[in-house]
Amino acid sequence: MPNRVAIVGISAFPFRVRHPNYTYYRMAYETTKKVLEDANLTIHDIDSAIYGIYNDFFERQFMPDIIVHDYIGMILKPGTRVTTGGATGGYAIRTAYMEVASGLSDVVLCLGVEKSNDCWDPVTKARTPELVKAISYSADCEFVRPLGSFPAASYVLPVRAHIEEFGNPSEESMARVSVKNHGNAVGNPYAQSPMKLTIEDVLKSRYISEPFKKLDCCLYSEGAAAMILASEKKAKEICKNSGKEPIWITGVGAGNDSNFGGLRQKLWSLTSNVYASRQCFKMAGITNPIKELDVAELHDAFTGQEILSYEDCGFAKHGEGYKLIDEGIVEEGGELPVNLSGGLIGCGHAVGATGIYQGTEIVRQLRGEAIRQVPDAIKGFLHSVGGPVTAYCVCIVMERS
Amino acid sequence: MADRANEEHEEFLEYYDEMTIHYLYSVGELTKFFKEIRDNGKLFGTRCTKCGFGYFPPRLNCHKCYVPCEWVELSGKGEVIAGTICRFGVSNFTDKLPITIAFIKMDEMDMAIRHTILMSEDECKLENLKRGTRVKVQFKPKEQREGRITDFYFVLDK
Ligand SMILES: [Zn+2]
Repeated sequence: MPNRVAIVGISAFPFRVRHPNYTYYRMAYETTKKVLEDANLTIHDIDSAIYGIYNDFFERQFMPDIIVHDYIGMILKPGTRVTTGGATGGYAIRTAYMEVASGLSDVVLCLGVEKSNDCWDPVTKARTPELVKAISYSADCEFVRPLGSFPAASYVLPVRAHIEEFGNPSEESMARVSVKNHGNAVGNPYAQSPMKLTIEDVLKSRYISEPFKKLDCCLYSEGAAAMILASEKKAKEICKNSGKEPIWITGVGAGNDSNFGGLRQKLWSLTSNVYASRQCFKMAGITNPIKELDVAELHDAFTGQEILSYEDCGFAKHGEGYKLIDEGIVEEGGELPVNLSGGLIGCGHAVGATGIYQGTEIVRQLRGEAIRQVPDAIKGFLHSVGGPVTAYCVCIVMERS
Repeated sequence: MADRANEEHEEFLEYYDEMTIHYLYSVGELTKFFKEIRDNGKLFGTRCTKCGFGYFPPRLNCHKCYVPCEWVELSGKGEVIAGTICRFGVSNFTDKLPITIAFIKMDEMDMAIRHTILMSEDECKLENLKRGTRVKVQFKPKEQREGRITDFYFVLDK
């Protein structure tokens, strides 16, 4: 059994379309400063760092982690970068967890940062087409990238397969997820896209990759997020000084599916999500997630993906995920609120920071400090997904004692 | 509907830059696949010599059995597993929209390939991209072929 590990500090740097007055390393610095304050520590107390930074093209820099490592004052200590697409944040937390659970380090900084919107296409004079071109180099460069792949087209295909298999989710159900997540972001100072929308607003927005419309998709962001993870003994010491409650990581699961989505026999199921969530729940001793969890942050890069995740994380039977949104089960005040932070759709997607930011929301919920607080939340769930057709998946259960 | 795209910022400078690396790369064991496309307008998949699984895109080793695969010529016909119509694109594709992308399973193979279906303006609807829709391969004229995945595309097989 791994040693017990707690999260003893959290922070975030607001997710915005652009932070033109900040370099990525200064965003990382500001976020580190805040996470140290939250844990009442100094940088000298940190044994090692794990960095979540996804795309070298975004930062216009290979090995951006060593620049961050220097800038935040971690010189001559170990540092490791994780880059696993949209799941970079989740995998960074898992890697930091491993380092503490193994006993190798006592106090580890887990820091995610991304500066996505420096990319710019001189032809269309727009940023997003060039940004998705930078991402397209993550698709197989022999067989997939030359055809003009981009994330919405990649992630809509399992949703299309699900619609063919089960006749749902409908565009209305997907629109409800958009209304929920944009709405949950209202009041969240870290969120890029807080909006009070109606289902009609979503249905009227233009098609991006059918049936996904503009308001079914998250936007790319610049931002950062951090956590400090500590061993049981250290966590108790740190939390005694900081006055914060330690939040324990009690379940971790991960699994990567085929790079070629076409190799999957059931395209309508995100099988990496099934594998990672089951492994995570087994470790945490959870048998009925929708009953036992109090709050969840799912990787909602796209509305339809959130609905498929309800099923693949075991919250609903296959073909019945849409009922969770249609019946309000995942809304604020429902049986299992999902993405009370706003998720990616409401907060934006600062890729390497996203999973860590969603983790900080779960920690806030369990500490009782969240903006949309679930009363007396004890167990929370984080789901972090990325890669071609949702290939990467990490799931984490967090608990307060 | 105020998102935060128009927040004000202090003065900042911006510079143009690009990251370019040139390659003369080898396609290795895929040489036969790309040569058949370019020179003969033929599609080849591979089949595991032990379990018989058909790989397309081809791979020369079965990842389940850890034995070699053999080349299999394909008829060029297959069916849609799932498809979408893209009305937004990567920067060097914005002039080619809409693009229809689908997972297509070739008849002789056991997995699907993600590729493009060329549709007329009339055809370009999700209802014409249902699961099981029959498609066939079409090659570009020989003089335009470069031995790349873009040398061919699919059309509806009516
Ligand atoms: Zn085999």
